Amino acid sequence: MTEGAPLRLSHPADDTGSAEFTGAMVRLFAEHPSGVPFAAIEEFGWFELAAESPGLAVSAMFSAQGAALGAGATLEALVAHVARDFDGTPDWRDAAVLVEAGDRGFALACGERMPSVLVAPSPSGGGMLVLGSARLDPVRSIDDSVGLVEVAERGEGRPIDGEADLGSLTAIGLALQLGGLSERLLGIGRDYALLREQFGRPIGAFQAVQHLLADAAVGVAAAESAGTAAVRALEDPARLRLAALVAAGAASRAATTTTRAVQQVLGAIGYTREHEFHRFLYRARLLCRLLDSATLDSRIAEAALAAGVAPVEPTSAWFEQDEGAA
Amino acid sequence: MTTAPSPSTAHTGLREALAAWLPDHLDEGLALVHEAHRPRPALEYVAAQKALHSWLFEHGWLGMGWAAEYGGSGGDAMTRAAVYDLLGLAGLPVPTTVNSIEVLAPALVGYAPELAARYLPGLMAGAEAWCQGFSEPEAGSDLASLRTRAVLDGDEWVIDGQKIWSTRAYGSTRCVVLARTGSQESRNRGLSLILVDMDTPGVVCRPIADLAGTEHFGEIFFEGVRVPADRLIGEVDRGWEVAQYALQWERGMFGWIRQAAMLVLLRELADRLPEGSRPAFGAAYQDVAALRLRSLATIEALNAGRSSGPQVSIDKLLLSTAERSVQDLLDAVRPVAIDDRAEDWETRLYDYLHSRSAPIYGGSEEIQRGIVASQILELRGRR
Repeated sequence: MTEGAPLRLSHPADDTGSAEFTGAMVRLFAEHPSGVPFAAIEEFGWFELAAESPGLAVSAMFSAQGAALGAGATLEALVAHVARDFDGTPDWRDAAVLVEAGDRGFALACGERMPSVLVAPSPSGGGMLVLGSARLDPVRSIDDSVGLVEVAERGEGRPIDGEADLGSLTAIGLALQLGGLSERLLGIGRDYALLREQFGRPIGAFQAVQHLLADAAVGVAAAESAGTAAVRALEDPARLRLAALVAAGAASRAATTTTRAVQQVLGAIGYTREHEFHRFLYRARLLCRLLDSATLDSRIAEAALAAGVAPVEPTSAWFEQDEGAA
Repeated sequence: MTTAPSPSTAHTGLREALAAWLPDHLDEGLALVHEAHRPRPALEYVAAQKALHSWLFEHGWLGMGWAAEYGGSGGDAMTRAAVYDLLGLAGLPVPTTVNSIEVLAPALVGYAPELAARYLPGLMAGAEAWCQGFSEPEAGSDLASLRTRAVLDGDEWVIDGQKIWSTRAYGSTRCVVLARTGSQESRNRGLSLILVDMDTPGVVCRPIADLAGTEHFGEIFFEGVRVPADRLIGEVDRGWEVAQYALQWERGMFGWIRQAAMLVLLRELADRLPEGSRPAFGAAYQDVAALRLRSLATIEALNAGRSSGPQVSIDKLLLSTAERSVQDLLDAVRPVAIDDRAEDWETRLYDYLHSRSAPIYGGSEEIQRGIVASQILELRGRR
């Protein structure tokens, strides 16, 4: 039987410890069903790993969160990691990062505790503000397993001394979550196609079902590549924005294709609360809304045009990376 | 002629070397590119492709990434990937004769190093063009059912049969033929790969007029064609394995070459992009980005010898998606159906029509989805 086996969407690679670390993070999310607090991410040793291999740490944390439908101060951890050398950063245990989605601003609360400060992009661009007097109101969403607050008033703030593109960082975190979610959901759909029999054979034997899931696999693979490229761009401000938007676009596409395909494969049981599918759909829709997915194509066009339609990742990026690895 | 960049400048030095070389050579290169990509009859087309190829070879760009014994100047597949990308983005896309190097040369080097040393230098230099003889009239998607036979007679193979849909066949110097050496029932376990000169007595090639107005592919007839026994690539009855290896390179490197060309098409559109086409532009850019990132990962895996096969079917699906969305966008902004009296109308019309072949060539989208489903998702087939 191959049920539950991992999907081999990419070429085999050397073991970097990524699977083991992702597994450990999945357990961390499971231990904190109402959200992994910032302090627990610190205790876990994530910041030490992030200092050593940032790509692995960032990818694993958010993919695990997506796959586990977890909640927690992960965006805050990412921003804290990037802003580690900046002056004036807040006490991250009390802080939340602003996610701008269209003309509304949100933050993800962790557990029962409301954040007391908000970290937001500086209106002048290229930097962050700590807003001590922001007014945050809880807001209902499609996914009540996530504590979501809306920023009603931003209030007064003080700047953090350092450059960081907060919008791109949150987009990468959310995109990686959406990618991890889509990959796990694809696995659920695949397993069900092997298990469920109709007309005397598993429905996965039918070409129509196979092609639905194959298209989802293509979307998930593209999201994985774009997410990896965006994480590689974390160190390169010149191409961070385009890489982050492309990752968000690829992940939104993957989530849309995969939720559609897997719901179709599941049939009626997927429309019930008895099957876990609904939790994936709710979270996927919430993440897409936070990424303002409906406007991503236009925003990607804008960013690509501003960059002279340069490649999302230039050859020089991977050569430098090769040399770094050598 | 400028000194060729040395392979020791491979990787980081390449960009600087190209930037230094380009100003004095761009106009000449653009003229050759224009000739090479103009839609025209098969023989003229191959000649123009070879002219661009040899020019790039003489200037040291092509041949980089291959060992000296095969006519190259050293380096590896990553060097080639960088060269194709940098040239492509500079507006000098490599000719399609490079595609056959990328598909066939790794297989030759890996499975028949003696043949590689003997014949690859001519291919590298652009003196020759090669083609692939895989598909047959009754063996398209079901390639393993092919019927062209090769029988060993003394120290010669005798080949009889017919190949079709061979890209750039008419005008090619040699053809890599996938032929049946085992029983018909042996399917993919009874096939062998043989290098055949197109001027061998008994080989007849005919160009096929395609819907893009060119003669992109041809059909090849083999009647009692005698080929030396040492023209075998790999082992007898193991040709399928070699062909699969070749196809992996096709998926990786061909997709990679195409993404650079498509980025240039998007860049050229930027100045005349209407506001309303921005979302379509962003969508097309994402399609090209996905192809870029994915095909590069495949080249890296192939270069490191850790490609495992079915994953390249995902790349092929991303390729045909990108080809279609880029050309549909270009057509929406500058419709090709009626001559708009622009200088590039004929080329645009050709590019649009040619993009319709992407979901079919090299294994149709349906075949690729089937491979993803059965070999990656491990869904059971019919029983």
